Formats: sequence, structure tokens, C-alpha cells
Amino acid sequence: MHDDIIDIGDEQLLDEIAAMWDAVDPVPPDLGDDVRVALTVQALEAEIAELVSTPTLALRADDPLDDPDANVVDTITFSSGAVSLAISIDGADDETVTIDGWITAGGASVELHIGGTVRHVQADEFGRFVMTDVPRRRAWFVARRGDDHPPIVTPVIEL
Amino acid sequence: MTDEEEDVVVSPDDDGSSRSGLADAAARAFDDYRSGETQRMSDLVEMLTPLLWHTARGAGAGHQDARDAVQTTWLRLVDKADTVRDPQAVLGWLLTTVRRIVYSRARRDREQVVDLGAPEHDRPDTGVGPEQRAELSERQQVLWEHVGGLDERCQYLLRVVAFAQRPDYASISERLEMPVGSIGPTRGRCLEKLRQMLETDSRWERQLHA
Repeated sequence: MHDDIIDIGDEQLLDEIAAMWDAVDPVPPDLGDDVRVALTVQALEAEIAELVSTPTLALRADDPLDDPDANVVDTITFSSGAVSLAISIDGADDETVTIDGWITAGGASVELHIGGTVRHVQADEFGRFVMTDVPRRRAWFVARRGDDHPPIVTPVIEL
Repeated sequence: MTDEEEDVVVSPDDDGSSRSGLADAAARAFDDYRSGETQRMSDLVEMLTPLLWHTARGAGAGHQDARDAVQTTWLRLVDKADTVRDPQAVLGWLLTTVRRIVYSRARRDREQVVDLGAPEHDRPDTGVGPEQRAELSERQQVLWEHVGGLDERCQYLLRVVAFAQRPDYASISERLEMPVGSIGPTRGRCLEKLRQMLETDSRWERQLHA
């Protein structure tokens, strides 16, 4: 037992100290989201590394990128002000891809505009969504966060 | 590690903290994350980013440097997540890492000072000026004055500990006082000094919470 006995008055004082620092030097409101996007990008790159090194791919070709049958995963992140959208494009076969997406707005509505059609998906509360059987074509995304925010449109990408 | 181990029956609140402290809540979230619940890392980021922010800023980092230090700290945790043996150590590891990044950056900045005649900054400008202080209530202004009257180690200690919870106080204080060279201030003595100053200030009334 040492001399640092904290009583209830000390706890209240510490609460006031926290509130004081929070008023005068608050955590930037977008810092958490910036961190999450960075973590997502890092995590997706980790998945790419694993995919390229699977034994099945090693049997097919020395360089998986030269093998048209090899799965190649691309990661693209879009950012617009307070919102970021990270997508991982997994080549399921020659003609279609699976898109693993993450948007820093839980519950956002995400649209994939492709070949004259629009596919809708609702991101879950953590901002994650998946789209399967997406044709390999030029495409872009529109994300909607409700009436109070303008929709976000990404540049066109080649899937 | 802390020498205040108690047998505590833990009933987590909604955010998993409060009675068991941040270190325990962080350990649970980190454990879940490693078990495959990847969204728990987001919870951990939410839970601890304020503490890390104030740890970085209190260590003297400017606004952008503090952002970078916090972000780098999280990236490093995820990068080496598999190598962390004890989830209970995560909070302490995060605190130590963010401080090391800030101090190492500060060292690099000092080494780049070419003009040897320039006065050395004993405390970098952390950007808390009149505009920021205007955000404080009258009561908080009084508190700010007296916190400013403490030595820097006390100011830092109390700032960081304020963003944790009671069960964390001992272990966090130990972390901030490392490496242990001389007998530094303890949070108890810092609080005692602060209370003495406040109690002699007629503008300060002790608030009694229900």
C-alpha cells in the first residue's frame, strides 16, 4: 500500500481536469476515422500478400501476375472530406470480381454504377459491404449518408 | 505491472469499461479482435484515441505531429498484434509507443536546428493560446490557472490520468514515470498540491456531486 490514496474528491477533480483539457485541446473529430481508414488499407494489403502466396497459385505459375487464372487483389481508397471509401477488388474469375468495401459511415447506402445499371447495397453499422459477381467493366461508386449530407461520387475505375 | 491486483467481479457496462477500467476494456477488445472479431479494433480506437491524443499533446507534440503519432501507434499495434502475449499489456504498450514516437520526433527536430545561436525551446508551442482558453468556463479558467502552477511533470501526469479510470491510475502513472530515475511526483502528491492551491482560491468552490 502506498501513499497515493485516491478519494472521491480526487476523482471528481480529475474529471474536471479532463473536461478542461477536452475544452481547450480537443481530439480532432476526424482523427478516429483517419485511423480507421489507415488500418483498413493496411489490413487489405495484408490480405493481398496472403492471396498471392497460396500453394494453389504457386503450382500454376512462377509469377501469379503472369497467370490469367491467378487471383489478383487490388485495393483502392477514395476520400472525400470526412468520408473515406476503401474497396478491395478480388478477381473471382475472368469475367467477374467480388468487391469488399468499407466506408467510414456506418449504414451508408452504396451504389455501384456499371454498364448502365446501378447495384445498391447497404453498408452495415461498421461500414462494411460486399458485392459479388460484379462484371469486369468500368465502374464508379455513389455513397449516400442521408439527406443531411451530399452524396459522394468516385472517379471511374476499371474492375 | 501494477501492485494493486484485486479480485474484482467485472460486470462490463455497454462500453465494457467503467468499473474494470480502460486497461481491462482494452484487453477484452484486443482479445476479441485477435479471435477474429475484426470490428473490435474500431472499438479499441474509439475507446483509447482520446487518451493517446492527450498523451501525445502533453508530451509536447504539435497538432499534426500528435495526429501522426496516434495514427502510427495504432498501425504498429495492428501490425504486431499477433506478437502481443498479454492483452492486459495493450494499454501500457500504446501509451509507451505514442510517447516514444513523439520524443523521437522531437529529438530529430532538435538535431536539425542549424543555427547554434538560437535559444533552445524548453517547451514546444502546443498551440493552447487565448483562443483555446476562451473555450473554458469561468470555473475551468480558475482550474487552468492552478494546473499551470504545477510543475510540468505533475501537469502531464494529471492530464493523462484524467482520461483514464480509477483502476488504471496506478499502472498509467508507472508508465509515465518510466524510466525510473529519481523519485518523481506521484499523482497523489500532484493532486494534493492542486487541491491546496484551489482551496485557497476564493473563486473555487468545491462541487459536491450526488
